[in-house]
Amino acid sequence: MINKLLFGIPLEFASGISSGSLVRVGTLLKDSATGRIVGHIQESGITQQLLSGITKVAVAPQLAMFDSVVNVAGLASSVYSNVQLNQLKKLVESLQVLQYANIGVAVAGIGVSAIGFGIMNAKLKNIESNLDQLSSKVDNHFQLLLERDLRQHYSQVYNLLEKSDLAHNYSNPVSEWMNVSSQLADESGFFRGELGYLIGSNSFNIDLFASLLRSLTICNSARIECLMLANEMRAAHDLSINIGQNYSQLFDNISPKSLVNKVGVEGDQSVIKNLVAGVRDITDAALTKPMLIESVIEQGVSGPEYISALKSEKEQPLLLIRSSNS
Amino acid sequence: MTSADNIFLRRQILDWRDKHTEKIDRHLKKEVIFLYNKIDLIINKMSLKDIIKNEALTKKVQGIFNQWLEDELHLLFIEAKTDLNNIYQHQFENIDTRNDKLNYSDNNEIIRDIATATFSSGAAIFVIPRIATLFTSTVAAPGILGTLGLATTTVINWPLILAGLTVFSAVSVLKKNDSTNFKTKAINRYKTAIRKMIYEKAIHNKNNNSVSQSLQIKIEDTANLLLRELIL
Repeated sequence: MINKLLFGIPLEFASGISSGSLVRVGTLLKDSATGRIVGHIQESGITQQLLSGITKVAVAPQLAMFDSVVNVAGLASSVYSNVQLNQLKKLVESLQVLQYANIGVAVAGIGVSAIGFGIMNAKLKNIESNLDQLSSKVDNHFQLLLERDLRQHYSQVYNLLEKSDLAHNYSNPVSEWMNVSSQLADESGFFRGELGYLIGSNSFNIDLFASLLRSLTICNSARIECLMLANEMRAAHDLSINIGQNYSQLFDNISPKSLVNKVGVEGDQSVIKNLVAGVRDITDAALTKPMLIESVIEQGVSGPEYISALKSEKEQPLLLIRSSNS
Repeated sequence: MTSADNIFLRRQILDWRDKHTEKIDRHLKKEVIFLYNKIDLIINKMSLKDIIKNEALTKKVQGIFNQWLEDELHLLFIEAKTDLNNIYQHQFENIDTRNDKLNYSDNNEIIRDIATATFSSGAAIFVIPRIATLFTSTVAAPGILGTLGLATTTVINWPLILAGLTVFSAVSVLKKNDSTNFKTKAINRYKTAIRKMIYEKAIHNKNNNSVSQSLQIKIEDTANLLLRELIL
C-alpha cells in the first residue's frame, strides 16, 4: 500500500511548473487547468540529516546562493560524503524546480516530519548555542529571556524529545507519545508568544527571529510526529490545521517593508525580503499539511507505517505523495 | 473554492500587498528627486522680486507638485489595480473550468462581491480624482486625499523666503559680490525648506499621514479586507 503512495518527483513536473500547467501551493501540486491536486510534496527521512550539516541556514539563503555554498563548503570539507553531497544537490535542484523562494521551507520541514527526535534535539542544541551569542545585540526583554527563561524551555523540550525517542523501545509507547505531544504544546506556545512579542516590538533582530522560528517549527513537527506515531491520525490532522492557522495569524502581518523599518537602514534589504519569502513558504507549507495528512488517511495508511516509509527512503530527499483522488 | 484555492489566493494577496507597499515607497522616493530638480529650475529662473512676492512662485510650484502627485498616484493605482484584478481574474478562470461535481458558484459570487465592494465602496482606493486643491491653505481637499481617507483639510504652510531675505536686506548695502552670495544662500535655504515640506507631505512624516504612507495603509487595508473573507 505505502509503496504505491510515495514516489520521487518526476522530471516532467519541472516543465509543468515552469509552463504554468502545474502550480505549487504550499506543499501541494495542482493541475492549474482543472484544479485537481496532483500530489503532495513530502521530505524523506534524509532531508533534515542533510541540512543539519550546513550551518548558517537560519536566515534562509536564496537557493542559488545556497547551491554555491553547498558546492564550495561541501567539496572543501569532510562534512559530507559524495553520496550526501549529491543528495544535497538533488534537494536544492528539486526546491528550485518547485519554485520555493529559498531553503527556509526545507529547514522548517516539508510535509510530515520523519527525522526522529534525536536529530530534532541536535538541531535545537545548535540553535540554542547560536542564541547565546546574540545576547548583546537584543533589547532588555530578550536579554533576560536569553539568559534565563530560554534555557529552561530548551531544556524542557530536550527532555520531551528524549522521552519520545525512548518510547520507541516501550512495549506500549502510544500513551507516552500522546503525553509528549500535549506537553510540547506548551513549549510551542512559549516560542509562539516570544515570536509574537518580537514581531510586535520596535526593534527586530533577524537572527533571533530565525532561531525562534526554527525552534517553533521543530516543536510543532515533533507534536505531529508523536501523534502520527501514536496513529492518532485525525488528531494529527486537526493539530496541523491549528498550527497552520497560528502561523498565518502570527506571520501574515510581517512584510519586507515593516521589517526594514524596524531593522533600520543598515538592514540588508535582500536578506529581509528573502526571510519574509521563507516565512511565507513555511506558512503555506503548514496550511497545506492537513491536506497531505487527509490524503494519507483516505488511502488507509497508518501513521507509524507512513513515518517508517519516509525514514527508510535513502535516495530521494523529496518525495511526492499521490493524491487520494488521482 | 477549495481550501487549496484559498491558500493560494491568500499568498497572492500577501505578495500583492508586499509588492505594492514597497513599490509606492520606493517609486515616490525615487521620483521626488526629479520633482525637486524641476522646482529648483523654476526658482532659479524667477526674479528676486517674484520670489519675494511669493504668490507667483507658490502658484507655479503648487501646480507642478499637483500634477506630479496626480501622475505618480495614477501610475501606482493602475498598477496595483491591474495586479489585483489579474489575481482574481486568474482565480475565476481556474474555477470556471473546474470539475463541476463541486459547486463553486456561490463562492464565486462572494469573491466577485468582495472585489467589487473593494473597488467601488467608500474605500474606493483605485479611483483617481483630481487633486487641484491639494496645496491650498483654506480649502478642504475632497480630491484624492479625501477619497483616500486622508486629512480632510490640507493646511500647507508654504515656506517663505523671508528668513533669508531679512539677512539679505540687512546686508544689501554691502558689496555686490557679498549681496549675491547672500541672495544665493537665501534661495538655497528656501529650496531646502520646500523640499522638506514636499517630503513630509508626499513621502514620509512622523504622523504617518503623508500621501505615500496613507496609500500604503490603503493597500494594507484592502489586503486585510480580502484576507478576512478567505476561509483557509
